[in-house]
Amino acid sequence: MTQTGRWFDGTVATATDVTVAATADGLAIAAADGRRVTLPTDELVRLSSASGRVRIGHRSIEGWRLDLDQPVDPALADRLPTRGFSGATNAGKKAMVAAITVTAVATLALGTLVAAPEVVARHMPMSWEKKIGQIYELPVGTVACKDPAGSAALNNLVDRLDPEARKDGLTIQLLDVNDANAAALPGERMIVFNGLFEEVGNADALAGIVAHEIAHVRRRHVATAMVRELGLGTVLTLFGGGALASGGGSLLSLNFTRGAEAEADRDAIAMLRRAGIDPRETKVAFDRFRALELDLPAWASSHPASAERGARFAASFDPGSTYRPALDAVATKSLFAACQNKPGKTERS
Amino acid sequence: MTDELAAGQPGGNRAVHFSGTWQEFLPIALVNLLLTIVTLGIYRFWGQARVRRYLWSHTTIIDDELEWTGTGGEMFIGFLMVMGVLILTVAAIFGTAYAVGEWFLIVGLFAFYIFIFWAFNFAQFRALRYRLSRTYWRGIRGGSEDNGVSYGWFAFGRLIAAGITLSIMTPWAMVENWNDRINAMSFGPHRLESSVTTEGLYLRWFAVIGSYFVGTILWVATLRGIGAEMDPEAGPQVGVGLLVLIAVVGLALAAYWALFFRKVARGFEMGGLAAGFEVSTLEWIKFYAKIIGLTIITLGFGALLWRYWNWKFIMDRLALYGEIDLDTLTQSQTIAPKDAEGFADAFDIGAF
Repeated sequence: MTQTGRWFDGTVATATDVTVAATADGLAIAAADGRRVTLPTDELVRLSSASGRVRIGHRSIEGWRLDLDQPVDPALADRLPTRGFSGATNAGKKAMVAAITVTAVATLALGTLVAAPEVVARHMPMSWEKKIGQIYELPVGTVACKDPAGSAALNNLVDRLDPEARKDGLTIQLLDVNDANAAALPGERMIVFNGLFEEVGNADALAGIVAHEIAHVRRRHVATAMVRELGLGTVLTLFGGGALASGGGSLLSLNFTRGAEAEADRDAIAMLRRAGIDPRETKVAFDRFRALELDLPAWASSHPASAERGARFAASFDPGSTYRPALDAVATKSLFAACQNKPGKTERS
Repeated sequence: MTDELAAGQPGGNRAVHFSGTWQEFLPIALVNLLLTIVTLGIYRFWGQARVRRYLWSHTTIIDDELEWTGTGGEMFIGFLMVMGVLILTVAAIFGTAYAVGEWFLIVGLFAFYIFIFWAFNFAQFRALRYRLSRTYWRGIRGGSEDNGVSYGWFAFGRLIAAGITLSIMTPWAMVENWNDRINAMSFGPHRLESSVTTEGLYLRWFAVIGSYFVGTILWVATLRGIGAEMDPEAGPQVGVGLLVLIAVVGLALAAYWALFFRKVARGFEMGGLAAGFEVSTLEWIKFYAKIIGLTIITLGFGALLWRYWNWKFIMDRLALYGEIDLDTLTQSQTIAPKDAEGFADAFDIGAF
């Protein structure tokens, strides 16, 4: 039989009627206008066609198309290309390579997405983060306890836990809020609610909690959490555009990762050991938070698995060490009573 | 020798025929979706190429099907190139601000936003150019000799003009941008020509703006009247009012778009071919009602067919008139772009 078809040579849209015959290694094309072309099969590619014709292209001539009418001459069968431009015969092998590449790229991309904000946040200049911290000036100022003796006691506690912290710019404020909570805020800012005192009962336990928050500040966990939860763009805008109050609300609900919490606990235990403060009281505070599960204090609820964590504090107790109280009796009393003096506005520390 | 090929006639043959079926398309879309999920989105470039190969090859213009020769690999590389540029730019701004001070962030980010707006328009241009360069008909492809850089600025400028006039100049900006974009393109040796005017568009556009403002005022006034602001029980009225507002503005918008696309087709010419797309507002509304309805009924799976429905809707109504001289329809001499649709992919926009 004679195989008929039509041929576009890639230079012009005119179709030329052709007959096609098999040669030793490919096809011989005889066009109605007298042109004769012979081509080896490996210069050709198989293309898909919806019209029912068999469409063949040329590897290096753009737009070159040979359409064979159906049914195709069986004599041509093994002269026709089987692979397309992307080399379909190696499909299995290629799919493997593609799958491995894609998985690797995807893992890398995901890893970068997860790790990049943390890396960026850790290297963000503190002056930028301070700008965001300014959002809290006003709300914190209105509920801060003014009492100088109480503030001094709190500052002394921080100095004992980390002698360099306040020199490096960390500030701590006592707020007259009846809630058992303490928090690290953007811009090396820490707040302690006086409702916490009732719950923890003594200065040693308070020291454990304050040490934990100091660790959040020192490790830049706050900046990391902001970047993770609000997105790098928002945080950059907040830094660049001078902290807009509109973004401030969402900053209050920042959560640290479990990894960050564990890191802060480890640092806190080390701080207590260096300062010679009994870590067992911190465990007692944890247990008390847990016992109050009906009305779980905010501090404990954002810090999961408090039993296990309390146990870690208790385990760091060394019977051979001598421990001194975190604050003496006078300082403790003035700190715990600081907000019972008429609440008023404090100067910014 | 002349070889004139007759296209359609007004009122007669449209010369455009789509032979695809949803039964054939659905498996492609489904496999694409699954592979896109398991590859965290990376497969979508290959999926896109597969969808286009299907849609193009099932679309016959006069007597020969279209052919899509673009590949997923080149689209992926184009995307990576553009993402690389964007990431490096942001990193450079951030790094410089780190070195010279935070004031640079304000300057840098402002410049970056300007760049993004330019790039958005540039991307639309490049996407159209790329698609033409990978579309073959009778072995001939399209393309453009224009790199789209200056188009990006002109289009950006017009959109700013539309913005600062509270969108009053929007029809003008859209029409001029469309004409500029199409006029820069070619198929084979023939330039694509677009001479769309704003005639009639303003009236429909003002109806959109007007219904939006009047509707909002009425809605708020009604709410005040029934005291809904204070009364939490008035939720349903609030919702119904909002739905009515959206429906009215939506109808006005549909009327605008319907006319826009009719004008776009009527204003088109290429090497002796003219186009027609006489689709009424009602037809568009019925079409969207159908696809939204089917999507809801199928619990969202209908969304897999949106691409198919859209293509079929257009190809079942698009017409090409006149004659084309095949002897002078020679291969395009334009450079086939390498960035594929990187910019458009990076910003997630289409060519139109």
